[in-house]
Amino acid sequence: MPVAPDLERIYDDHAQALFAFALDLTRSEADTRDLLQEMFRRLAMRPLRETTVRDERAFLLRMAHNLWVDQIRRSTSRERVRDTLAAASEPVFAPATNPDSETFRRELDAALAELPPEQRSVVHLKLWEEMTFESISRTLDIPLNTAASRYRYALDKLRVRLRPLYEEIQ
Amino acid sequence: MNPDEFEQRLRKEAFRPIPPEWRHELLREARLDGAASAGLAPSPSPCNGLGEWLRDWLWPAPAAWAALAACWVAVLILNRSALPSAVEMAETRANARLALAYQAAVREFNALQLDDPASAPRPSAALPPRRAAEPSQARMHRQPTPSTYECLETVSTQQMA
Repeated sequence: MPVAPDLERIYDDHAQALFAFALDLTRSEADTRDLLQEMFRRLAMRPLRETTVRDERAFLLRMAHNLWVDQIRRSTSRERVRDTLAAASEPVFAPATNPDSETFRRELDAALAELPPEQRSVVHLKLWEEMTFESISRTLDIPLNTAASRYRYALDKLRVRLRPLYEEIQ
Repeated sequence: MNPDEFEQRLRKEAFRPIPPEWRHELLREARLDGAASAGLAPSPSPCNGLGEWLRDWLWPAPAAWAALAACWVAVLILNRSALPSAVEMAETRANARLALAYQAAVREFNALQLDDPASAPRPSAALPPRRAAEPSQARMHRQPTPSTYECLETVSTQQMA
């Protein structure tokens, strides 16, 4: 039985973005794989319909976020997961050839891991998915002002944490 | 540190690429699960089709439709609670039966009165008040009605007696 062409197209169009988002949230490649597997299993059982999904990427990111929340609820409390993530997390950025860039990426990785997951998800969607706050609020099911304030707080923390290194490598 | 520059710098950082072997693995597993669920799923029935159609129809604003449905339920409940109780209904029916019986009795009484000329009312009493307001000319040229004859006959019989 061939794979539904729509499923392949969805994978080719969105898998990289979903992988990055899920990895940023879970900080674990194994959990990311489980999450993506569950996503595509659900998509295979109940295909997306163009009439019901206006923004496919936003819909899939929301689905990934909801699955991640389910994953946390199933395993343990959020606080414990956050502590675990901060203690030992897998790198989410690709290795760089330039040593300065590599150092910056490592620091950014660590700084992101220290952020609360709620803020990290907003930062990810804003910076790397280039979504608007309105779209982020819909995707994460939070008020618009909450999305904006979480982004502001998170960016301030990143700025404080990365300022010395950033100014050094500039 | 310019905020925009900092954000731009962060945006440039590339995430790890998704392992290429995942594509085959994830899609294969999804295909197997999809096939299994399709095998377990019941054959398409009119009910399923209706469900799909309803889902499509309600999708743009499910909350609005739910609110409308809630309003209708509230209206139905209010309507139901405003209906008279069984006791009130029985009382109304009994009153209606009583009214019908009273009407029938009145009709019978009137019929008896018409059959018995002796008990007919006196002409002066039978005349409606507005007849006095009629012009005298019109009263003179008016044809007497059978009931008037009857009244006159009754009066003359009484005088003779």
